[in-house]
Amino acid sequence: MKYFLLLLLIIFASNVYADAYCALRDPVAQIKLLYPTKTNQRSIVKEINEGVRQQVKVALPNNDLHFGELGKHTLYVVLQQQTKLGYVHVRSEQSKWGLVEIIWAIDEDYRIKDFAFQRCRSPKKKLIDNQLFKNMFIGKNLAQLQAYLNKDGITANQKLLSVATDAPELTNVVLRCALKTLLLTQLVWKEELDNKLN
Amino acid sequence: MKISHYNQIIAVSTLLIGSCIFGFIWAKYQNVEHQSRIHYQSSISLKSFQHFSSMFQIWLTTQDLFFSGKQVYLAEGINKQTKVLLDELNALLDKSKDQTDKLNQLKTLIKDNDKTITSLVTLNNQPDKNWLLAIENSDNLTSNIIVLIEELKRIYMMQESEFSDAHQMAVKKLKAWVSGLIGLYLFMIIFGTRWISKNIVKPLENITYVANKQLDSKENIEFIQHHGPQEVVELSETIQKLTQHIKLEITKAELQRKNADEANKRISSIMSSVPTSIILVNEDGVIKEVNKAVNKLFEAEDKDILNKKIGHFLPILAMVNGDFDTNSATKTMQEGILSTDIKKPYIEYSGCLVSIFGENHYLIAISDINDRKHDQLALSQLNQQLVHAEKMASIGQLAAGIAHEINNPIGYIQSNIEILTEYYEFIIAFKNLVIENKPYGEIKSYYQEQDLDYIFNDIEAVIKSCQDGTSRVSKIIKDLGSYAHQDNEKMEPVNIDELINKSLVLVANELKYKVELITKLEASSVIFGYPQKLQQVFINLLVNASHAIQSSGKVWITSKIIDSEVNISIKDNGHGISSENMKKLFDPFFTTKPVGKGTGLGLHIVSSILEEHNGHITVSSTLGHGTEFTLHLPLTHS
Repeated sequence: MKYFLLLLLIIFASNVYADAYCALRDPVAQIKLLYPTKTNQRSIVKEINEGVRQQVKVALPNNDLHFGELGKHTLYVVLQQQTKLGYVHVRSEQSKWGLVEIIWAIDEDYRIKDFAFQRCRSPKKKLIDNQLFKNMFIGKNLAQLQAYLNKDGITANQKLLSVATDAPELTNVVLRCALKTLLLTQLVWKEELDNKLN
Repeated sequence: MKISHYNQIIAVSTLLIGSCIFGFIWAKYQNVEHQSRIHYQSSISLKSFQHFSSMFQIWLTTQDLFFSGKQVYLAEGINKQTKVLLDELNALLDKSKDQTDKLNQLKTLIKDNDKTITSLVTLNNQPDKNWLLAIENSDNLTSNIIVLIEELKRIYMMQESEFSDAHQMAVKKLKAWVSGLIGLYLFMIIFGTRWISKNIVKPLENITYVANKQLDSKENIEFIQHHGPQEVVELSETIQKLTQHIKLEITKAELQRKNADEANKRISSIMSSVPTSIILVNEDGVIKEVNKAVNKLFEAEDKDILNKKIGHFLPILAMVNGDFDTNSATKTMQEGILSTDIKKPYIEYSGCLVSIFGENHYLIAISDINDRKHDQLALSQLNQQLVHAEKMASIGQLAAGIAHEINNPIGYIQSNIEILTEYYEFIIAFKNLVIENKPYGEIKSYYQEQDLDYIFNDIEAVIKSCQDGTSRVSKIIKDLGSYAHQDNEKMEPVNIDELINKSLVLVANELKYKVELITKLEASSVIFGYPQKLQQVFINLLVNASHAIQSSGKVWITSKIIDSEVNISIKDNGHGISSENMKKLFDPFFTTKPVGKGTGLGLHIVSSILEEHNGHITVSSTLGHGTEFTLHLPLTHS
């Protein structure tokens, strides 16, 4: 019990010092891997507040944002010179073995272009860190990804799990992370991205 | 084999089988318990490891917070959590000896990770390459830890699953064995019950079924059971024997019943045709059964006889108070008289006590003796006439002697009367002289001349002689009259000695010329009897004694009391009686006297008279030496 109280104390305390990176490490190095032709990138820091949280709750039932996900977050607009190649959104998703940091590459139509694990302790990562699994996400928008959800709204259906038979939990984490990433990108950054960067 | 042996075998086998079953189930149960304990331990280990795993997840989250926030106090929390995790691992090491290596690796990795975290505490809160390296190092360590945890978790789960399966299998086996053994036990009970039913109950049911069938003497009933316990077989054999015995007895009983029916018919036929009246009365003298002869005898129908007291018809069987006289009812050949309203009242009855169905009854047979009674009466009258005739004959025989005896006193009475007449004439003449006042001298002269002194003196003697003569004649006449007179119907006291003397008077003339009579009468007793008849006896025997003496002899007559009877002996020393004649001595009409001298009824009547007095006569005789008749008369006569 004392450990649980200690954990809650830590969680509340951590919110005060939330970082705009949304991850432990700077994803810039990873952006080059996702956009090999990129020349530079712009970062747009926006705050994810309680209002966004309520919108997420409506759009993705049972996928509530925890306090650690609130606060300032950064979205990277990947550029080749002045040409916009796409966006990079790094999100940390709570998993059984701690935070899983995934770098999401999103195209201008807000579809998954690619993704990469920046940090993941689970040994199951190697089971899904392959193209077959990635192909289940690449090119899918929010609605298409929602089709992978079971009725509970938080677990992946058999269609997605069929390509990650031995890593269902990590698959669920990746799916939830992808859904939140696309949703938050559109909720928080879409207006600015559509108005200013076109 | 006996039921008791079966019983012992069943008891022992039940005990053994029960013990085996219990022991086997107990062993299986112990195995289940063992598997359960192992499974429990495995579950505890799994849960402990799952707890460790949960703690580890929290630990990782804390680290993530620390890595993202860089707060130093979180490092202290991580350090404390690390100690808790290590304690958990130590506990698991105590429980899971077979996972020691992996658990120790975990400990090492966790400790290494804790060192990494601790190393970050001293870094500046500025972006530092070492921070990222530490995170990377920590992630590598924690990834290895997670691999180990996943593997251990799989092992623990697999073990728990195996032990659970083993436990479930042991439970299933236990259930299967229990079910099987219970089934086997039930089967054995059913088998045992069926066996008992077949080998013990069924034979007994067979016996009962056969025993309940109607016993028919013609049908051969088979009780014997060839299979089953010894007792049942023996019982069946015994019942078979008993049944055969019963059938035999039934056959006998039927035969006896048939015979009894026939006998009953015969008896009924006999009873209905027998002239003797037969009456069955109960202990109270109530008539229960009669035959037809009774109706005729009592002149009444069954309804007027049955259930009435026998005393009503036969008063002799009723006591004064009217109760049944059982003593009289059991007498033999008793004469009796029926009630006065029955025309033919004379009967003779015999009775006996019989037991019918445990109750005492009296069977009374009554013979109608009216005809016999009339015959007897006629015979008795005839006999009386015969006795009287014989007595008259004896009187006739004695008449001459008696006449002679009377004649003597009459003779001297007549002579005395002539003398008295002569004396009367002298006395009258003397009286006239006196009356005429003749001179004294003349009177005196006449007195002396006629010797009147002698006459006056002799008159008394002559009168006395006449008186004696008349007395003697009177006595003879009286005795003769008494003898000739018929007896009363009832007995009367009789002085035996006096009666003998009277008889001697009547036979005096028969005896005195040739017989010396020697009397010794010492009885001096009185008996109840008929005096004339007894006198006839004495006269008859005395005359016979006289006749037995040719010219002269002796006759002894004695009377004395011996015991409770009077013995009168009349003995002579005459010619005696031959042995041939001795046999026929008392036969009627037997006589050795010439025709016309004897009736041949004398001794027969003597014998009859003595029998009438409940006495008897004995005779002893020696040819040529004499004869002795001895009369035995009881002093008391009922």
